[in-house]
Amino acid sequence: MRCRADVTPGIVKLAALICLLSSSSSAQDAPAGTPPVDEAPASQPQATPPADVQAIAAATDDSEVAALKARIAALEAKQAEAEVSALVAEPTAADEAAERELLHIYGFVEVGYSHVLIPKSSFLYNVAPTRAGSFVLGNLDLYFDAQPTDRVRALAEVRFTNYPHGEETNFGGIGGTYQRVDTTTHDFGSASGNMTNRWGGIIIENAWAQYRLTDYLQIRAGQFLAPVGVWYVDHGSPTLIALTLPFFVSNEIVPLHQTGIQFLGDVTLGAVDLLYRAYVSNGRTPGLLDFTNDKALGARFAATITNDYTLTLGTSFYWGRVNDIQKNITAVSPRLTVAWDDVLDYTETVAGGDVSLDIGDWRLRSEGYFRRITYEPGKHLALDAPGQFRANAHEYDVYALAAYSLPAGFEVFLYGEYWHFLSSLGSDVVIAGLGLTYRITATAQLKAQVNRAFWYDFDSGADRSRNNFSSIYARFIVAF
Amino acid sequence: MLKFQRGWSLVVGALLLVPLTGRAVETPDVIAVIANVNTPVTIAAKDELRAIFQTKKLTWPDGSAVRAFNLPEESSYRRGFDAAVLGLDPERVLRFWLDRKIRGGERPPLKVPSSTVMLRVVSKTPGAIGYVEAAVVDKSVKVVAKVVNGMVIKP
Repeated sequence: MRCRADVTPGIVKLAALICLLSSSSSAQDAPAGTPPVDEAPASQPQATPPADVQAIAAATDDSEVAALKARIAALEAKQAEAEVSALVAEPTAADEAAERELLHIYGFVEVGYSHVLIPKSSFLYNVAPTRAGSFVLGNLDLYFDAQPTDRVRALAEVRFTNYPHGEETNFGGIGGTYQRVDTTTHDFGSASGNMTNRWGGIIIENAWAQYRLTDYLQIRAGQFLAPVGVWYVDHGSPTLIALTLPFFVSNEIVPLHQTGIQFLGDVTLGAVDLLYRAYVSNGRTPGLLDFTNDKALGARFAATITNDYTLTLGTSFYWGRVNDIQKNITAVSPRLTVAWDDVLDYTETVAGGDVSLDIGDWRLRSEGYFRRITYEPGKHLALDAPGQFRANAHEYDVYALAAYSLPAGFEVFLYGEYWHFLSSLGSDVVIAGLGLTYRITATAQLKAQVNRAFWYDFDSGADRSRNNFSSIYARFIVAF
Repeated sequence: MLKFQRGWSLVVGALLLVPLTGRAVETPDVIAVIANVNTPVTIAAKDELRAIFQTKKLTWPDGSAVRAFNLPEESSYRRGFDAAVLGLDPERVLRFWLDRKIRGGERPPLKVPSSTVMLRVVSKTPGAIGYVEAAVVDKSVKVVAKVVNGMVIKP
């Protein structure tokens, strides 16, 4: 029997004894230089064991037992020394921390069912993408989080979608020709000649690099989610309490994705955490580039108090100028002349606040935002109807959300929202919603929400109730 | 007699309901918050520890990097530390870090498998801070705070 050097310390003593006993036993049965016992000729005489083994085997008095114990102790010491050497030599978490694992990849997927129940009396009845309930692929987001050093970090978050397939781009009749985007292509690489594919798109949610000077000052550059209140940043369905986005998010009262530079930091003062985010960006642009040098400015400030509860109070601001252009060829002779015409020019100012409170089994959220849009003369947004333009306007939106955790992973939530804006359906909408979340595990959850939308026109007093509708949503969400 | 029985029924009923609604975390008696001997800190208050272990505070006052280490979620010391410092039970700790990931926030502290390894890692890593059962602390690290019966106190 061979004695291994990597025996764990808890069995060192036992192993040493076994080694000694087995070596003495083996030595007695098959000394070095002789074949194993079962291979040895029957007539071969027993070999003589080595002298030290004979001595061990013959040990009978106390002094020899003491010598054996001393030898075991020596073996234990040698073993412990070897183990310490191995521990020092092995890669440790300290090394891992120093290297800061370069890349983390994670994400979430969301699938489910949606059904919007619109009455025939509503204008939306014939405009909605479908009147039926439909299974849907929601979000499929992947994050690539790189942190090559303690101070440098880069994050890319991409959403994979089947869009723009199925997008209706024009209605027929007097509107022209009905058109729907069809991304179907033949799969020429397939061994089957008639295979087709539908290609989809990738939405970049986040793509930025960040350098941390201190905890109070970090600089982020690239495309980021606008730091506005709670919902803008909590954009992932595993994090959000409710399924339905508030109107100010879905209508981007502030551009959701912004390209620019952001300064951010956190300060802890006792039980209060202060946070600021300030950014300069292209703002809302029709394409990818800004057509003016008036950069958009935005900021968010928040204070979080942590006690037996967690209370966050925040406020957000945004100012941006929106400009669109057309390039028109005005002459080809004597030389090609292209005119640059401003066709849209307005400024938008947004301000709002948010409050979050986690206390016991309750989670409460509320946000409210106001936006003012002011057009430059002659540069108003053109509406679909010829000769009609959008007037200077303001809109505001406020919601409240209360969630209560129940035993066994359930959470029930109530949602209420009021939105005032300009629309042919009515100037005011009230949403009432009720939902239930079941957390199967920490990373998997089922969510369902039922909403009822009530339309009003408080300015004119006109009855808009024919546009009221209900909606049902269910999602299975898994983060990974 | 009837009142007595009803009273006891209410008590028993309330006790039966406690496991359904309670979020109590069984915590070890004493947890030592340990730091590398060269870290520029001698005492860490609860709020500072919360900022560190929520990875909001990532630099020490001298500008060097904070390297926080956690024990595994199933460790009673981890649960006791999270309850005392972060004020979160295990389920909410998982949710906290999931939310942080989806928001694109900073990563959580690295995990080490045991108090023995924690002690060794903190002693060898510049800027390191972690926590272990108080009984295993030796002179290779310095104690910057203690968690005793769910309260964060000075060492």
